[in-house]
Amino acid sequence: MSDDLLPPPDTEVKPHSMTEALALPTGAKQLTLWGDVWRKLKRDKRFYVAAFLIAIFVLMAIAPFLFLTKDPNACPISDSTLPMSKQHWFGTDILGCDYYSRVIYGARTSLEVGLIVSSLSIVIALSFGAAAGYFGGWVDTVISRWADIWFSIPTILGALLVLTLFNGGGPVLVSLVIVMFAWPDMTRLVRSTVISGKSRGYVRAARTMGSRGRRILRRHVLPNGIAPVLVFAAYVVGSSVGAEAGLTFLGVGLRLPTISWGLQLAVADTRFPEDAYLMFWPSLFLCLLIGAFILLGESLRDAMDPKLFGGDG
Amino acid sequence: MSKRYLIRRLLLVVPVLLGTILIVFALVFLTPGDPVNRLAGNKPLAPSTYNEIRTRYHLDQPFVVQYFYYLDGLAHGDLGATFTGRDVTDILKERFPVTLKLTLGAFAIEVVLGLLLAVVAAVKRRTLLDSAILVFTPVIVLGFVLQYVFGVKLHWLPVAGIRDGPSSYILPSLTLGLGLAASLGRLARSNVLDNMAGEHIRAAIARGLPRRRVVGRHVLKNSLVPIVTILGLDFAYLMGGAVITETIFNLPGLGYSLITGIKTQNGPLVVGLVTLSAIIFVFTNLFVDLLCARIDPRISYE
Amino acid sequence: MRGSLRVLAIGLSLAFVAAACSSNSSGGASESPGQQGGTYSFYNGEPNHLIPQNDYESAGTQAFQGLWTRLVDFDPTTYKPVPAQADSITQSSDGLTYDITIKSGWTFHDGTPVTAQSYVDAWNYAAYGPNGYILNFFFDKIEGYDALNPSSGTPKTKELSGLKVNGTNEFTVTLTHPFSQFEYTLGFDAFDPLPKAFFDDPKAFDEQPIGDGPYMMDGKWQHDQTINLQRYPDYAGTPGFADKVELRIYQGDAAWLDFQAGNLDITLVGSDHLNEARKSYSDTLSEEPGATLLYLNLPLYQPQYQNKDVRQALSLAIDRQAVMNAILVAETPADDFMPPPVTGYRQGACQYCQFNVDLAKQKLQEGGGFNGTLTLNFYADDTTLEQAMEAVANQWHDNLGITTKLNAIPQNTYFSGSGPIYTKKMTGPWWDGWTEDYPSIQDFLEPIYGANGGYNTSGYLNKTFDQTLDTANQQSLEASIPTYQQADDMILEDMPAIPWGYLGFNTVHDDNVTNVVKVPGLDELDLSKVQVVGASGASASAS
Repeated sequence: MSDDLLPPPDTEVKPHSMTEALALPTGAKQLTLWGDVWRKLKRDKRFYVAAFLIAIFVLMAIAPFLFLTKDPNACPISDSTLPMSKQHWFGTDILGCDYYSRVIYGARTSLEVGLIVSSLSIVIALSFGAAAGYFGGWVDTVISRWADIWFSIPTILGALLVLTLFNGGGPVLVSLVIVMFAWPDMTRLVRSTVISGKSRGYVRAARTMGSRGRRILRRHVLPNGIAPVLVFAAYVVGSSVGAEAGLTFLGVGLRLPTISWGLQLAVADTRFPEDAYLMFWPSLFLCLLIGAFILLGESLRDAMDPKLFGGDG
Repeated sequence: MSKRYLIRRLLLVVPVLLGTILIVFALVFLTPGDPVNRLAGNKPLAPSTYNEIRTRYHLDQPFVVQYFYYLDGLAHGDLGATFTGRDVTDILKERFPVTLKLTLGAFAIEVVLGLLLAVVAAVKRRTLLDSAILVFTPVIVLGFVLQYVFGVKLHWLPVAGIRDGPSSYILPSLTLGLGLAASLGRLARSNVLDNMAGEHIRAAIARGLPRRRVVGRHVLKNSLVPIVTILGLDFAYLMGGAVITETIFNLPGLGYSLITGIKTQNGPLVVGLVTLSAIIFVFTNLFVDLLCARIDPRISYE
Repeated sequence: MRGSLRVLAIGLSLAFVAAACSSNSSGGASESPGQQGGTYSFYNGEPNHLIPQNDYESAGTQAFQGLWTRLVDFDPTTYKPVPAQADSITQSSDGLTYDITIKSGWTFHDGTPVTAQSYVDAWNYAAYGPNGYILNFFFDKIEGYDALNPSSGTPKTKELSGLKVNGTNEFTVTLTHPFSQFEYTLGFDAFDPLPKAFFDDPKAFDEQPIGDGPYMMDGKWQHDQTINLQRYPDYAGTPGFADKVELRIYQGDAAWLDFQAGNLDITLVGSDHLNEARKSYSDTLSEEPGATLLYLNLPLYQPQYQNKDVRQALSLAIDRQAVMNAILVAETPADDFMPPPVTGYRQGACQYCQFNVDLAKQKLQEGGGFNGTLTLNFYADDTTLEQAMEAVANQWHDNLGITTKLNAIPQNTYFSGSGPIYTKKMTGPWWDGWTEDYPSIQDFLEPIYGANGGYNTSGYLNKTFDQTLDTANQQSLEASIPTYQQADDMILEDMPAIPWGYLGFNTVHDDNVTNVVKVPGLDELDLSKVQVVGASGASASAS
């Protein structure tokens, strides 16, 4: 009885990681055109919410002066820890700086980390994953086993270790370290997409017609691999922002004078629970930013999956 | 799923683990600074004491030598000792149950709540519940909030430590479990929706099979593979010791131990902890793969 | 602090710990009954070891305060040493030999007697280099130390030639040079006695130590969780009030939260929560000056810091009180090169520690100004400290126009014997602290500014200063103090370092306990004095 209800066996399913489980629903068919994707996104309320939030944060990052009322670096110590008021919408922090301005500035650092981690991960994943998937054999073995080694070290633990080596650093270093532990996941994803793509009809057809390996990879296999990667990238932004906050909170991430929500949380922790407002504002912004990217990922995912809205793709 | 594949997977575990140990060892070794001098605060240790401790722990040897000493110990079941003389094995034995309890607690919450959310959201698509799953609060924030509200203000639950037996694990488990439940819920929901939209499912419903039964039996079962995968990953992640949660709630588990070990540059302790994590991870992965193969016979790994 | 082991209390920006000592009440005087019985809990850190000769940190010494009775305690007003477990200590006329007689009839927690041999055996063990005991260097003034700590090879003997047992309760200590402050040092846990059980199995002893103090172990040391103590029924001195004491081990903020939730009876309060404590727990808050001097050490080997006027200017330009009001709440501005609870401290002695921007500017000009960027160094992983350093740097910038930069150095490097501080490679001032080993002015002068001081990391060299110290070392205890103060005057003028502040020893407690008092001269809670409210026994009157 249950056999009747299994989806038709047209895919090779090899869930080795969260990414694959995430982005490759069982029984995925060939992807629709990008135009369809866009149409679907436009109908999704979540996309609008996500896009709106992200746009605001990007604006905060690029042009903080649009939001600022005060200089975030003007910190008269006598103004330490003032409560929220008309002068200081979010109050002041321990050093006497206007907290609202500092929190706004924090967006820039978080987005920087998110951007670097996701773009680097995409590049690495696309190159290594495609190579492993397409060429197979010992290339695959070497890459996959190397990925396994880094994969089995939990991200926070590993990043803690490496960053202690460097005694924390700027957003670039912290991002690079997070990538060190994040790349295997996305790479595996690309690899399995490529593997399932390899056996598709159109690829075989192209082969018969004489196209060479790399060209097939570039023109046929990769474009299909990109979709799940994009979805995953959205999640990666969210999780890397969270990871940076966690690492900075633990003392190994960013340092003064970098303005980061993680740092603000670390300081807020020392005055918790008395000056709870110090914890509240960066937490709120952090949640909103991460949430926005997750929403984005969700809506992208739904848009790229042909079957979800009842159509046949 | 052939025996050959299983053996091959098991054999591959060894080089991966050796590689992991080497990398972690190197990272700890390369960290600048002197773990021995820390023992006396900022007062200078007598040179004789300093030299004695260094020699005792082979700290005066080059990296490769130290690495082989470690492997040699490992082969004899000895994970080394910290610089205060405690056996790493003893420390792991002490810490392991704490992390295990935390993991089980968080895991239970994740599974029950997550799947519940998933099914509910899938069945009642496009309602507010759908979007509610997407609430994401980082562990740091959730931990403090729960600790403050339920521990300090309401006095319902312990604030820190494991003195109060099982109730000590409630807040930390919630802190970890809620977040994981939310992400599991999202993933599972997508999969469930996905499967429900499949032609074969719609056909079955059209044929008259009760909707709930279809969802309950068949859709869930088909969604099981990715769900099991994620649960496996989450389990391994939890067993690595949720560092932040353990710090906030003062739970003497593996993660808490790791922070201490890293900050005091206790090589053997750090390597021991990460190795344990890695072992758990690799075997959980293997187990999950095997389980998935059993659930869904179409999966082939050859 | 979150993640930092070596912390005196949560939230304190302090990583420099050692201990001085003292034990409970000055021996002999009988106490009024008070309330006996009950259990209370107190915050503690996780010690490295529970062997007195092998742990230097406050987490260890606080435990030793209950588990052992030291040879001497310190007088609450003068901070001079007063015999505790010792009966008498007599110094020979040439100042080299001390005759120590201990009180008879005392026993260890396992019932074996405390004898002179117990002391001598313990001291020999710690002084023996190959044992690798952390407090080994405490014995370097005793004759025979070098033989036990050769630069290479194994020592040919295991006993210090300067120690001689003269009977069950008497032994003599011979030093290589006269040292007027020797009696002070005897209050340190390095000089505690050890029972035979220790020598049979030191490792097991570490998990469940056996001392001779008012409290004994109640079960084994539960790492990272708690050290439980119970009253020792056969204690020969004044017994502790409470039946049981739980030294709960916390990291990070959890202790404060637990206290607020009513789960922890007594806790230390650091800068982070002192304001709150003053507001909400003012009736049980006790703020006392502690035994630590925090200061900004200066690299005198760097050209920019070689001018005395410049150094004075840097010190004058900082508004210590403002930074303490905002961030380092548990500190008070320094006014001498040592904290108040130390013999020899003089209030207001440091004229350049006052905040005076105009004078600072003037001095800076006289000194030729400051070239380049001033890099302010401090150890990483202490958020509160980092904020404070930022504030100080801002002040130097705002008040003197100096370009400043912060540099957070990882603790392993910061405190390392091969790190930049010890190898004299620092490029700018660094945050430093010195907690006394014993409450004597000498302890704050010689080790740090003496030519052969074990911690002379600034490179200060002043022959007159050294000669004055030498003279004082050879005098009697009484006569030496003014001489040391003369030496202090020299550095008060020279300013080889910038005294910053004193760290308070602040405690709060709930209604479950009363009589929460600090040990005189040491940053420790007197565990045996704490009384549990409502315990069985006569109703309250604090002794």
